[in-house]
Amino acid sequence: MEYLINLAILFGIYSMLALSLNMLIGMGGLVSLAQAAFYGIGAYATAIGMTSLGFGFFTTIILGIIINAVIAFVVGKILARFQGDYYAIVSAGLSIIVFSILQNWKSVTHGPLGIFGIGKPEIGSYAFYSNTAFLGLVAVFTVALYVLYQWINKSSFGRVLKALREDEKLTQSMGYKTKHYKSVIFVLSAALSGIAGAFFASYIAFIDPSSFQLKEGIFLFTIIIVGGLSSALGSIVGALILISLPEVLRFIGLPYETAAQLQQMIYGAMLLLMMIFKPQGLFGKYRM
Amino acid sequence: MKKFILSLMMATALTACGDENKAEAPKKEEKPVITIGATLPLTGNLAVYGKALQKSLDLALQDAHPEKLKYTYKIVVEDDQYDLKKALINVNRFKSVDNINAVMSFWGNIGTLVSDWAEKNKIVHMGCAASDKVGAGYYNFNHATQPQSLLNRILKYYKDNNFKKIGIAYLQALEIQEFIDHFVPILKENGFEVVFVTSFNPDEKDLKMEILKMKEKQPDVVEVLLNSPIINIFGKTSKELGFDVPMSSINNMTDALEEYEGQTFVTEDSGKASFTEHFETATGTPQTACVVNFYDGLNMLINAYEKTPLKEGKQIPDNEDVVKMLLDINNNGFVSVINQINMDKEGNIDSPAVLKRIINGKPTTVEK
Repeated sequence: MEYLINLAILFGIYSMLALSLNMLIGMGGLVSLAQAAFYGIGAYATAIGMTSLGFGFFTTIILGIIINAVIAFVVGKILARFQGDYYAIVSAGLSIIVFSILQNWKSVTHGPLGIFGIGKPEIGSYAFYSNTAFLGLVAVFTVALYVLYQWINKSSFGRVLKALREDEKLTQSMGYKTKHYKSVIFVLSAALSGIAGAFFASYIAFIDPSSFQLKEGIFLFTIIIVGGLSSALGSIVGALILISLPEVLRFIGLPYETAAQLQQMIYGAMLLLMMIFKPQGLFGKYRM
Repeated sequence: MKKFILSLMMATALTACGDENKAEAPKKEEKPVITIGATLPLTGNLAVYGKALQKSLDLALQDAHPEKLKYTYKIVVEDDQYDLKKALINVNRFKSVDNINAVMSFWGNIGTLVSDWAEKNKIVHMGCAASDKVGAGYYNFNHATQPQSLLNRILKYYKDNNFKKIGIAYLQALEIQEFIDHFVPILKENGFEVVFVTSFNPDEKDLKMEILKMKEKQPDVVEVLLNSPIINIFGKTSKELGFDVPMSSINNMTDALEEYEGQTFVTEDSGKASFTEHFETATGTPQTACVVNFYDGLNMLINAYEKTPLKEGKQIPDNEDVVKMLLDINNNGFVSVINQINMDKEGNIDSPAVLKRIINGKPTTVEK
C-alpha cells in the first residue's frame, strides 16, 4: 500500500508539472524545455526556506512562486521574441543555466552536496507526516491546478492563446499583442511548476541538482505529448502512464540479469508505438 | 481509451498485490526468509558500477553457502538509474511488495536519501559512499573506505614521488564534492601548490578546453576524481592532446584500465589478494568501486541475522537487535574479506587505503 501511495504522490506532483507545461505548450504552442528549471527553483525555494530560513512549507510555496514569476517575467521577455524551434532551443539553454547555478552556487544551494532534512507541511498543529495525509494535500493542489487549467482554457485569455498557437501573425493582425500573451502564460506556467517543486522537495526530504536537469524537462515534455496537447485530462493521463508504466514492467517476469535493460527497451518501444498510432497523444486536441 | 487507463491502473494495483502474495511465499518454505533489497544504477551512465555490484551480491550469497544458513536469503535488485525519485520508488516497493528486512545503496546521493528513509522505516541500511551522511542514524551503516584514509594515502604518494604542483579534475557529485572540500585545503596546508582545479557535470563529453588549460599550468600530477564514462573521456582526450603527466585517482581507474595504463590510484584494500581474482573469474566483470564493500556488507548482514538471538514467538530477528549485532563487530564472529576493517559507533565501516598501479591492464598493489 505504501508503494502505491508513493506512486500516487509522484503521479500527483508530475500531474501538476504536466498541467503547468500544457498551458504553455498545449494552449500557447510555445515549446519549452525550461520547465525542469522552474520545478528545480520551486524545490530549492522550499528546501532553503525550510532548512535555512525557518519558513513554513506554505510560505516557501509562495516564495517559490514569486521567484519563478520574477525569473520567468525577465526570461519571458527574451523568449517572446522567438518562435517554434528557436523558442525550444532558448528555453533549453535556460534549463542548462539554472542547473549550472544550482550545481555551482554552493553557498546557497550546497551544490552537488544537495540539501537534506527538508520538513513536511504543517497547518496549525497538524503536520502532514504520514504519506496518506501528504497524498491528500497533493491531490488538493492537483485538482486546484486542473480547475485553473480548465478555467483558463475556457477564458478569453485562453482563446487568444489558442489563436496565437494556430497563427501568431493572424492573431497580431486582429490587434492582440502576442508578445504580451506569450510572456504572461510563460510566467504563469513557471510559477505553477514551482508548486510541484515544493511538494517534491518536501516529500523526498533530500534534493540535489541532478533531479532538475534538461532530461527532466524532456521527460515532462514526453508526458504531455503522450497524454495529449491542449488537454488537462491528457496531462493527467500522460503523467499516470509515464510514472506507472515502468512499475508495471517490473512485474512481468523478465530475466533477472537483463531485466533493467529490457524494461527500458520495452518502455521505449511502447512510447514509440503510441506515437506511431496516436501521434496527437491520447487526448490531444492539437498536434505539433 | 477509458478502458486503457482503467486497465493500466488495475494492472499497477493488481501486480503490486500479486507480488505481495509472492512475498508471502516464505510460509511454504522450510526456512524463514530474510529479504535484502538493493537499489542500483543498472542502466544509464553508472550502469558499469551497478551491474558489477549486482554480480557482487549474487556471488556473496553463493559463497555464503545458503544451504548451511539458518534463514533463506533473498536478494531483490532494482534499477534506479542513479535518480533520486526512482530510488525512492524502489525502496518503497521493497518495503511494501518485497517485505525487505535490509536495504543496500550505492554512493552518496542515493545513500543519503535511503539513509533517511531507512531510519524512518526501521530497515537496516548498508550503504557504500565516501559521505558521512549515509551512516548517520541507528539503522544505517556505511561500508566504504572513509575519505580521511584515502586522503592520507594519496598525500603519502605525492610526498614519496616529490610531486609539488597538483592539478585536479573532479566530477560534480555529492561524495566527490565532500572530498574536494577537505582535499584542497589539506593539500595547501601540506605545502602543495594546487595549480588548477576544474569540475565537470556528469553528462559532459567535450573536455578538450579544460584539459588544454590544465596542460598549460604544467602540474606534476593530476588527481582525476571522475567516474565512468567521463573518466574514460578524460583519459582518451588527454592522450590525444599529448598531456602526458602522471595521473592519480581514488577508486575509479578500474573503469578505464586501457586509458590509464601505468597510472596510480588509491582504493580500499580488497584484502585477500584472491578476492579480485575470485570476483573477476566468477563474474567475468572487472572489480569496480564498492564491489568488495557490497560483497563484505552482504556477508556482514547475513552474519548478523544468523547470530542475532530470536525473540519469543518470532521467526526472524528484530532489526533493532540485528543492528546491535552488527555494531558488535569485534565479537560477532564476522570474518571480513578485507584485510582490516574498523567500525565506529555511528556504523561507518572503514578499511585501510592501498595504492594500486595499472600494469598490463591489471590493478596491482604497489608501495610507492
